[in-house]
Amino acid sequence: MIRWEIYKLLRQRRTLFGLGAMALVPVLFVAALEITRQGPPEGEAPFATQLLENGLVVPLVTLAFATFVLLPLVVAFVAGDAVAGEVSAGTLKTVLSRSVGRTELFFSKVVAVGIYCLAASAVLAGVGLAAGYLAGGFAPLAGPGGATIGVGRGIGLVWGGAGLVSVPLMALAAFAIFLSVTTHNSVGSGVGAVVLVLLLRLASGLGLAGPLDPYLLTNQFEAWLNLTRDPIAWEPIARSLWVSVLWGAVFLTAAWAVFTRRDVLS
Amino acid sequence: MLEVRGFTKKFGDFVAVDSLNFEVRQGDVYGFLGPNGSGKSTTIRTIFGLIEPTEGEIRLFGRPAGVPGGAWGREGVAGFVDAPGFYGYLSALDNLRLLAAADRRKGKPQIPRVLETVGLLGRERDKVKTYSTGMKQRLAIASALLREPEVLILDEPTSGLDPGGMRDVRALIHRLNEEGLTIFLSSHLLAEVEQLCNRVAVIGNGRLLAEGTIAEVVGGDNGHPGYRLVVNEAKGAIRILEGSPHVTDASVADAVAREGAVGEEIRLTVGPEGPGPVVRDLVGGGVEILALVPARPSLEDLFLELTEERP
Ligand SMILES: Nc1ncnc2c1ncn2[C@@H]1O[C@H](COP(=O)(O)OP(=O)(O)OP(=O)(O)O)[C@@H](O)[C@H]1O
Ligand SMILES: [Mg+2]
Repeated sequence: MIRWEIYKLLRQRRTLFGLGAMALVPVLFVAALEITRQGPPEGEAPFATQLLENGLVVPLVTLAFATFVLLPLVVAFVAGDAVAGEVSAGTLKTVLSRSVGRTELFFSKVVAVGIYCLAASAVLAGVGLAAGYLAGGFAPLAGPGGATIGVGRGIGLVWGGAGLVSVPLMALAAFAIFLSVTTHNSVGSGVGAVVLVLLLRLASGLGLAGPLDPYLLTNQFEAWLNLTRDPIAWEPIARSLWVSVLWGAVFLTAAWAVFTRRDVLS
Repeated sequence: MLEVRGFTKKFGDFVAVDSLNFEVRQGDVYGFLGPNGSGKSTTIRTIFGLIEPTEGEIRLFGRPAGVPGGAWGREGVAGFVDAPGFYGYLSALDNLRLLAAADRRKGKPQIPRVLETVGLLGRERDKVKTYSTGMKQRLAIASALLREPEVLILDEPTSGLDPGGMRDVRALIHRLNEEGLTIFLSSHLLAEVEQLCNRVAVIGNGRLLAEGTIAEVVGGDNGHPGYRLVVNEAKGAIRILEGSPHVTDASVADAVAREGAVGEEIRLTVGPEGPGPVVRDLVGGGVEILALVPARPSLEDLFLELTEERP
């Protein structure tokens, strides 16, 4: 069923639209850069000061920028549709009247959405690298501690960052799936997941979370920046991974429990 | 094959189906007759394990159905509930392949054969969103046949079809039954059930109103057929009919005078000999017979009769 869940995603407009949006971010960013010749102010984004000289900075800045809202948004709307879309199209009852069990169908959907999270991050990183290279070529980066990051490691940094970002992204997708299963409302589930992101960011920004702040899901999106340190700070990266996995596991378990028990009525 | 035992389904406080009991046997074309909202689809959902009974159970091949997420894979049963739902953005072929994958049966799915059976061969590469209601209905039957079931469950299979489409689907159901398939079909059309089914359960407001062979349930007084008799003069005819030993019941129909209608109408129920002797008596008594047609009771009539019978 996994194969078919992926195939279905590929054939839906909202999926391709999301990936297209991810490809557009670095392209528009580079275009804006070419026109204004002005980067974001220092401190707003990693390596922002080197932006105009070094194309390698483009994928890093767009990754940091997109994780703020855009990447979660794109993933939320695809994940929110996973079950709700099938309920409103009347296809869930059709599939569940066959032999496949609910648990298997559920995890097939989860895997397909997980792959979509990876794909969205990968498109962002890949197109970012291509756009950056075409705009300014690659040069070694001046790292935060003054150490130099070579071009090879810089490229690895982009892919590693995209990989690390996709983990909390999947946890967020799990929340959207949970909403999808419980509300049966596709758009509402997408919006709900985006609202969660905004609320957590707000809570973090206002310092409301106190000692729990490092454990907010949204703060895991920044963990990849630790890859830029020399030596790499693995401890916060590892913590971000297990915190994200925990969030995801909680939402998925809840979603699974509802999905396997709930009456399919439409 | 399919036993419904004390099946009850509540939505909150609302009782959608109330302690339903009936049994479908091998080889039946079993009609499940009831008006809108009577609980037909709710019962069928439970057969597929889409919803859980509040009380009672539905058994298929001796095993309990209706356990959402239940362990057994609905082997031997296939069909659809409500309007068929397909992936509109995929072709019919992709839809069938996907459902075959969800069936996890051994061997290659017989997709061209089932498409041929329902007359969709040649259109399988079109996206389902371009399909008409009738085509979707036929695709739903094709997708059910793909499972090579022993029991076919069809929820209002002719709803939304034009007369030609209805005729085709009914002919197909008849043919599939002759090939050995047991069929359970819901309908709100009495004529359809009479035409197709050997047994019927009648349901109203979630309760079983009657169950048995078509003749037992639908055939008027004790299975003796009723007729509409049109004569030139009703009063004289009634006098003769009341004196006839072959007549079980005769009354002047409430005259709904239609423009241009000739004669007067009598509702007539006759004995096991049929209407022949009655006609002879009437003609012998000088009554002019303008028409004699079997009266098809409407679902409404049947319901009135069935609900009145209840204590
Ligand atoms: N999810 C639900 N919540 C509350 N009531 C429901 C729900 N689903 C069905 N019902 C009610 O249960 C009753 C039976 O519905 P059901 O769909 O089984 O009827 P039906 O016999 O199939 O009717 P139709 O001929 O219109 O298809 C109806 O009164 C309906 O309003
Ligand atoms: Mg119905």
